[in-house]
Amino acid sequence: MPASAFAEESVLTAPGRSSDSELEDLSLEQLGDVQVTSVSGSAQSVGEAPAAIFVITADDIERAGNRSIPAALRQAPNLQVARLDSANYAITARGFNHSSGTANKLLVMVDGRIVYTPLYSGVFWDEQNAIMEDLDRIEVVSGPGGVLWGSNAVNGVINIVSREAHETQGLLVSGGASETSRALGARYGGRFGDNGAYRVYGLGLRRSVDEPTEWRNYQLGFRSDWGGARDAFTLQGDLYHGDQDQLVGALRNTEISGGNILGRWTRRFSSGAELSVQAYADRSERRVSSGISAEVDAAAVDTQYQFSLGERHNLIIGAGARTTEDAFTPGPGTVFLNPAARRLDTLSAYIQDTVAITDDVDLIAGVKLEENDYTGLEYMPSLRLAWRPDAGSLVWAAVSRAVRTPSRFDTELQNTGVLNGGPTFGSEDLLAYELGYRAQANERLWFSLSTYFNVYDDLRTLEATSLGVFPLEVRNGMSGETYGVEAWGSYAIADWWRLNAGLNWQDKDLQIDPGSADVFGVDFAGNDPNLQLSLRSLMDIGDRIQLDLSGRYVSELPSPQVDAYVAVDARIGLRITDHFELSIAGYNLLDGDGRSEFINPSLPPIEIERSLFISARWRS
Amino acid sequence: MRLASILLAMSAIVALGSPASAQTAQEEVKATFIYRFVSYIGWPPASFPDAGLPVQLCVIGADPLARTLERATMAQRVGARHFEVRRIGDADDIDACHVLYVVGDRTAAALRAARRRAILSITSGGSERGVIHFTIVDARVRFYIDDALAEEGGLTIDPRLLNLALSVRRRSAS
Repeated sequence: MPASAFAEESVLTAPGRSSDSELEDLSLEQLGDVQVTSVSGSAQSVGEAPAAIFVITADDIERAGNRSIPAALRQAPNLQVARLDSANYAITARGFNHSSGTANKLLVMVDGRIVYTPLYSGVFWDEQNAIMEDLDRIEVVSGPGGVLWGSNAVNGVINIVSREAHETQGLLVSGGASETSRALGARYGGRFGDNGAYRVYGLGLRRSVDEPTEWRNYQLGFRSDWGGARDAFTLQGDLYHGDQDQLVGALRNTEISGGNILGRWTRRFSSGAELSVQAYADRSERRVSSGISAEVDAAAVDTQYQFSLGERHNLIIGAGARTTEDAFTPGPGTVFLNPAARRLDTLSAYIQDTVAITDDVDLIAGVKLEENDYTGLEYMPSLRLAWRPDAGSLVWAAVSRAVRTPSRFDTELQNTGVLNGGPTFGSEDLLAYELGYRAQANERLWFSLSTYFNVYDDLRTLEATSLGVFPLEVRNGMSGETYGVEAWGSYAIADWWRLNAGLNWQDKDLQIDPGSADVFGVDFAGNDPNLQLSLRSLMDIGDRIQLDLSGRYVSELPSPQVDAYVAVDARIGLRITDHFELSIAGYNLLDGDGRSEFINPSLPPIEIERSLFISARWRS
Repeated sequence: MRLASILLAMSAIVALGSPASAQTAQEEVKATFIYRFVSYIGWPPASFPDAGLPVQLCVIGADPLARTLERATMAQRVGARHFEVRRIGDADDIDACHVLYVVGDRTAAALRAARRRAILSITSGGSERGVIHFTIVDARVRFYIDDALAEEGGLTIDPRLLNLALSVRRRSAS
C-alpha cells in the first residue's frame, strides 16, 4: 500500500472550466445549497416533511431478521402491530385496531400501488410478501396524509418501497427456518440495453404459529427500470398463490391468489419540474373452504406534476382515477353482500403548495378532492407549518381533515334478520391537530417527538332499528377525541453501537352520540394499548458481526382483554465471507408458555411462543 | 361531474407554469459533486503512474447517475487529466478506480474491497458509508466525510472540503 504522503504531482487544481451546465459554475458551497427534487417524487421528499414519519431502512429490515413485512413494521414506534395468527396481523397507527383484526384507517401502498381492499378498507397482510433484501425502505407516517394520498389515509400511511433494479444485480439466494416456519427466496438481477436493469425473483413461505394453523405462500415477480436522467421507466409485477389452514370451530382452509402489474414513467424537466404517470392493475382472490369467496380487481391511473413557481413556491398537483370490481360469494347461511358484485369508481385531484415564507419557515397548504360512489365529493384539506430554528432541527405544526369513505362491508353487508347493511352510512371524519419537533442534536443523537389531538366524528356504530334490536344497521353514531405522544430517537454510543428507543402513548375519549341506538358501545371502535415502549441495541462488531438485542412493552388491551406483555428478541448476524451471511434470531425469548397479542372474538386465541429463526443468504 | 372541471383547471395550471425553477434533480447535483471532489483529494503517486492517465470514476448500482456523470465530465479536465466513467458490475473489478460511487446490494462488498486502497469511496443514503457519504438535508445534497477511512487508503483531503462536510470523522493525529 502506498504511504499517505501527498503526491508532489497532485491533482489538486482549480475546478475544470465551465461549459453549458449551470451546476458546473457553482462553488462546492453553492452546490450544497441547490434544492433538489427527490428521485422518487413525493415518496422521498416525505422524509423531510413536517409530519410524524418514521423510515424503516433496509438495514432495519435486515436486522428484523424474520423475513416478513408485518414483523418488520414492529420497528416503527408510531405503529401498533399485533399478530393474530400464522399469516394475519392487526396493524394500525394512532389506535382503532379493530377486534376483528380489520383496522381500517390506514393507507398501505407497495411501490405506489394501493393494497387495502375495497371490501372493508383493511389490508390482507398475508398477501403482502417480498424478498426482504429487495426492499429499499418502508415509510411510516402516523397522522393524516389525505392530501397527497387520499381517503383512508386517516390515521396513517405505510409506504413500502422496493429497490430499483439497478441496485439489485446478480444472484441472491436467501432463506431461513424455525421450528414453525420456512422461507426460501431467490432473485437474479441483470441488465439490458444501454441503461436498463431488471430482476426476477421467486419466493416460498410456510408459517405456523400454533398447530394446526399453517400458511403457505408462493410468489413470483419482477421489476425493471430503464431510462436516464430525463425519462425514467419502471415496470414491475408479482404473482402469488397461498393457502392457510385456520381453526374456526372446525378447520377451514383459505386459499389466496392474485397478481399485479404496474408501470411508471417519470420525466424530469431541465427546469427541475417532474412529471410522473403511473398505472397499475391488481387482482386478488380469496376462497374459504366453507364456500365464502371474494374476488377483487382494481385498476388505477395516477399522475403527478411537481414544479416551482417563482422563488418561493413549490407545487405538487396530481389527479387520479381508480376503479375496483368485486364479487363476493357468501357461504351457506352467513352474511352476504347485496349486491353481490359491484364496481366502484374513485376520481381524485389534489394540489399542494410549499411556500417559503422566510428562509427558515415553510407553509404547506394543500387540498385533495375525491369523488366516490357512496358519498360523492369529499375534500381533505391540510395546513402545515415548518420552522427550522437551526440547521439540525425542525418544529412543525399541522391541522388536517381526513375521511374514511365507506367500504362494501360498511354499507352492503347483510345477514337476513340480523344485519341490514348501512344504507345511510357516510364517511368517518377526522380533524387532526399535530405538533412536532425533531432534531439532530449532535453527531450522535437524533430524535423526534410528535403529539396529536384528533377529533373524530361519524365513527361507525352498529345500531338497533325501529323493528327491535335486530336487524342491526351500520350507522355513524360515535364521535370523540384521541390524543397521544409518539417519540423516538437514536443514540450512537460509539461508531459501532447504536441505541434506538421508542415511546407511543395514547388515550381515547369516545362517546356514543345522543339519539344513537348503538348496541356495542365505544369498544367497537378499536382495541388499543395505552402505552408501547421499545428499546433496541444494535452493534456492529468489526466488519463481520452484528449483535442486536431488542425489547418492547405493550400495555394491556381493554376489550377483549389481552394482558400487557414484554417481548425480548435477539439476533446475531455473521458475515462469513463477502458473499455469504448467516443470522440466528431468537424471538419472544421470555415467552416459554406463549401469550396472545390480540384477540379476535370469532377465532380461538393464538398463543405466540418463543422461537428461534436461522437464516442464511448468499449473493454473487 | 364537478371533478372534471377541477381537473381541467389543474391542467391549465400545468400549461401556464413554465417556471424558472430553483430545483434540480438529485443525481445531477451528486454527479457534479463527485467529479468536483477529485480536485480536493490527494492520491499517492502510485495511483497515477502516468501524467496523462485519466481519472477513473467507477459506479456500481447507479446506472442513471453514471450516465449523468458521463455527460457532466465529458468536457472536464483536472490538470492534464480527463475523466473516464466506468460502470462496473462487480466489486472485484475496482482495482483501477480512483473514485468509486456505490449504492445498492454491492455496497458492503465494494466498500470492503476498497478499504486500505487509494480509492475515494462514495456512498449515498443507507447505513454503509464510504469516505464520503451523501445525505439529503432539507432538500439539499450534503455529505459526511470519514477522514480516518481516507487515511487508511493513503488519501489526503483538502481542509477546504472537510470544512464543507456535515461532520468529519477525524484521522489519527500525527
